[in-house]
Order: sequence, then C-alpha cells, then structure tokens
Amino acid sequence: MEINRKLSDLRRLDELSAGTSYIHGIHTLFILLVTFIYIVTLMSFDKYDLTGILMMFLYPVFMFRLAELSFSESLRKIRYVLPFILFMGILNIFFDRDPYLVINGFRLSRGAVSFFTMTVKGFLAVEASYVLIATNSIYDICAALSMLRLPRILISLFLLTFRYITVMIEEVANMTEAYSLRAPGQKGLHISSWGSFLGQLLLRSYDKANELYLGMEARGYTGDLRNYDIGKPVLKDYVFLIVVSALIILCRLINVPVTIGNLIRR
Amino acid sequence: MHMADALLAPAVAITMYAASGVTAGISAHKLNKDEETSKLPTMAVTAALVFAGQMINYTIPGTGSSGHMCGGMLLSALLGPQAGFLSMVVILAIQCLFFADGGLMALGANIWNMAFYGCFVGYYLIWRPIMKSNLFQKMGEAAATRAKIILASILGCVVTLQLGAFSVVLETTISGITELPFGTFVALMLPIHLAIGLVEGLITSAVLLFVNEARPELLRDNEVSERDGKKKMSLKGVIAVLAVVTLVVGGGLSLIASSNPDGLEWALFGNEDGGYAANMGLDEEEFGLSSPLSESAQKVQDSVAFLPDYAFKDNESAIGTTVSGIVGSLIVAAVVVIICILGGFFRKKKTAVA
Repeated sequence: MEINRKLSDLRRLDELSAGTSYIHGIHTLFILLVTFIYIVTLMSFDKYDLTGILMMFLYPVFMFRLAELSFSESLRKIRYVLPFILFMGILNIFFDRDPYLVINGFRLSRGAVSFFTMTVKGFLAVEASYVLIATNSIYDICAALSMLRLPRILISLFLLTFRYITVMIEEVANMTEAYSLRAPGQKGLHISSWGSFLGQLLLRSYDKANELYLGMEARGYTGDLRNYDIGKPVLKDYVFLIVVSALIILCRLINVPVTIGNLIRR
Repeated sequence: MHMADALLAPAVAITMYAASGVTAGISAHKLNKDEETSKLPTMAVTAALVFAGQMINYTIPGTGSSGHMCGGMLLSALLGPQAGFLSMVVILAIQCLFFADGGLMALGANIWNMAFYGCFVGYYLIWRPIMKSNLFQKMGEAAATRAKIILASILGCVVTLQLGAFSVVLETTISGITELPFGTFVALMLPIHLAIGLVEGLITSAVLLFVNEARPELLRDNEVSERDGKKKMSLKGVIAVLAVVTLVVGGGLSLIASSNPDGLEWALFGNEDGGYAANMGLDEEEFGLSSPLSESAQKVQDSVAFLPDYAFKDNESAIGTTVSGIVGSLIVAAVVVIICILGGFFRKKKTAVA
C-alpha cells in the first residue's frame, strides 16, 4: 500500500543518514550549499547542450561512491517526478522538429535533444537531493538551516511536523485499513465519510497537540524548541565546498567532452 | 502540480524562492509578534495531518476515479493564513526532500503556486469575506454558516488552484525549456485543475463542516454567537465579490482565449512572431553544422527566441538572467508587500481563536 511505502521510505532515509562514510562526516551546511550550487548549475545548462550536461553525471557518481549509497535504491525516488518530465519532454519532440544534427541521412531533431537534456536534468536533480537527504538527518538539516538564519519558528515547525508525520501516517494507515475492511470492494472513501474520516482524526490530534503544548510549557518551553548545534565547520568541510563547487562550475564553463574531442582531432 | 527542477530556468527558480522566502519571513515575523508561537504544536499536528490526509483516496460519486486533497485552504481556515502558509511550506519541503515530489530548486515556485495562493489569496479574498458576509441570512444562522463554509471552500479551492495552475504555466513558459505553446498549455492545465479544484473543495468543505458541527470555535472567522459590524462587512463583501469575479472572469477569459492560442500568444508576446521567424532563418544557415562554434551560435538563437524583446539579448545569457532575476524579485516582492498591506487592512479586528 502506498501509505506503508511512504512510511518505510522515511524509515530507510533515517537509517541511511546514520551512516559513517566520508560524506556523512562533512558538515551539513556545506553539503546543502554544494547541492544547491549543483542543481542551479544543472538548471542553467542550455536545453540543447547535450554534450556539456554529460559531465554533470560525475557528481552523483562520486557522491554515491563516497557516501556508500546504493544507486538502485535511489532510482525509486524518481517515480513521482519522472512521469511529468517525460510528458512535458515528449511534447518537445513534436513541437520542435528542426534538425539539430544530420549525419549520413540520420536526422536528430532539436526536440529530441531537448527532451534528453530535460530528462537528464530532472534525473540528476533528484539524485543530488537524494544524496543530501540520505547523508544528513533531519536534525542536521534543521541545524544547517538555522545557521542560514531561517526563522526559528519555521525550523521548529519543520522538526516537529516531521516527528508527527510518522505517527499521523500510521494512524491514517490503520484507519484506512479498518475502513476498507468494513467496505469491501470499495476503492476509496465514500462521500458520506469524507468529512468525518479526517475530521475525527483532526479533533483527536488537536486535543493531543494541546496536551503536548501543556507538557512542553511545564518543561519550560518559551517558543523555541532547542539550540540547534552540529558544531563548527572544520578545514575539510571548506576544502570539500571549494573543490566540489569549483569542479561543478568548471564543468559548466568548459564543455569538457567537446574540448577533449577538439584536442584529439588536432 | 509539483514542479520538477528540470522544467525551470535558474532565474525563475531563484525569483520564486525570493518571493516565497519574503512571504515566509513576513509570516514568521507576524506570528512572533502576535506571540502565536504557542500554536506551534497545533500547527505541526495539523500539517502532519494534512500530509497524511493527502494519501487518502476519496471516491468521487458517479465516477470510477478518486480524488486527493492539497490542503492550503483547509490549513488557512483552521490556523489562519500565516500559520497555514508556514505549515504548507513545511509540508512541501518534506515532500520534496524525502519523497522527491517536486524539485529542491523548484521548491520556491511550488510554495508560491500551492501555499501562497491557497493560504493568502484563499483566506483574505475568499474565506474571510464570505464567512463574515451576510450571505444566506434567510436560511437561519446554522444553515447559513454551513452554506458559507461550503461556498468558501469550493470557491477557494477552485480559484486558488486555477491561480496555481496558471502560475505553473507562466513559470514554465518563461523558463523556455518546454516547447509547449503558452495557449495550449493553459488550455491543458486550467480545465484539469478546475475539476481537481472542485473535488478538493468538496473534500475541504466536508472536513470543515464536520469540524463546524463538533467544535465550531476551531474555525477561523466563524462567529458562533454574535454577528457584529454588519455595515462594515458589506463594503468588504463587495470588494471580495468583485475580486473573486475578476479572478474567475480572468481565468475564464484565458480559457476562451486559449481556444485560439495563436491569438493569445500574439497578444502576450507581440514580438515572438518576429523572433520565431528569425530563429527559423538562422537555423537554415547553420543546418548540418556541428562544431563548438555552432553551439554558441545556437545559444544566441535561443536567447533571441525565448527572451522577449524587453529582456536582454546578450549571448552570455547569464547577465540577462541575473538582471531579469533581480527585476522579477523586486516586482514579486512588491506584490507580496501590497498583499500583506491589504491583509492588514482587512484584519482590523482580532478574531477569537481557540
């Protein structure tokens, strides 16, 4: 069931983030920055820059290796974004039929090229975010965001919501299962239960939240959850940031495959 | 409606991040100022609930299909627009990080398309005016409240989803990564999201009606016992109705116009026709070439074809996109500030919140 799969996804990512690889040891803030630099660079590639974008494959390849992550496991992540990208991309093939390249009568249209670069971009962006989330716990990310001076209330909300989500998903999964057992052969919620199903859960959760708030207040809560501290970055973090982002930007500025090709042709 | 990174240009993504970031900053500031941080556990629980609620299948009567909910309207009706917005930001961030549903760089755009419209536009222009209006007075108080909840939920979901879908089209078209013509894309997205909005509106109203029966004090702007300030409301009611009518008519017009996509494209991008022709002309010249030179020539072509004439035709598109990004950010930030001022204008009186 979809709900249970989401739950196991969450649990698995939590397990992965507890790893001890080289990448796990890098300061979260710096992985966050590198991920953003990588994705922005990736997005900035021209939609017909088929050769240039190939170099961008190197980042996930190295990161997966260094972080000891399984590539095949990450492929499941793409199932949400891929259909839309494929749909939009395939339309490019029909709308952009000018030739990009003609070799011996074989004609590659510009639409096909942009379809390919778009799919690659979508795929690589998901892989890069996967590296980020599989090597850093939610707590690390919240701490890094707080170092970036994001509003505290947003970060506290992020952390607390994440804690509740597993509880709530389990609850909804139980309720859905109980409902489906009472309504065999029915695909979803009948309209007569649309309001009460989520409404009941909402009311119960509100009471829980109030009790929780009283409990927090009794323990001295004043509007801030806690001090987020994951330590100061050290030399190797700076080296990582500078080297990796320099390489990423270099790959953007110099079309490495074409440069190599020209060298060989000469 | 979650956009992927692949569909956006960096300038568009960063502009949308700036817009959503400013809105989140203002919302957080507002919550801190009103000392509503005590609502944190309630916000977190509601956000988690909406997140889980999105996984429930709702059977649509009379059809074989099922619908889902998105939650912007539900959150702002329960928590108010600022808290609702921050909760949606968190939901979208978790969806993006843990389930790869929507891109990391596209998060700003996704927050804008789903959270901003659902929470701020939905609350200030639809939920609040309708709930405070004198509509359905003849039906008796309880029935009138129910009718208003249904009307506000459905209208809110439909209008905010239309706005969101339209923004997706705009952001994608400005990014220039897909070849789908603007008109065709609008004609595809808006009717689909009209249906989704209707279903979502029905689900939202069902949940809110249930809450209204059991614990009416949980709903925002639900004046349970007293009905004061009728005269003041009437002006706001008129403004709200006008705004909603404008939005719906605007959306409707774009639908009608989209049956003639070329006409709309011509109207919106008056010069694209010329640019397009030039593009084709250039193409024939370099037809069959495959050298690094031809690649940079293509870049020039692209910037000619996809940036309208008021933008920058530098072949180093980075300069153009940076300037566009800054200008875009300023415009969007100004819009946000105006909406927040408008919100303040509407929010004279403090409402009782449980």
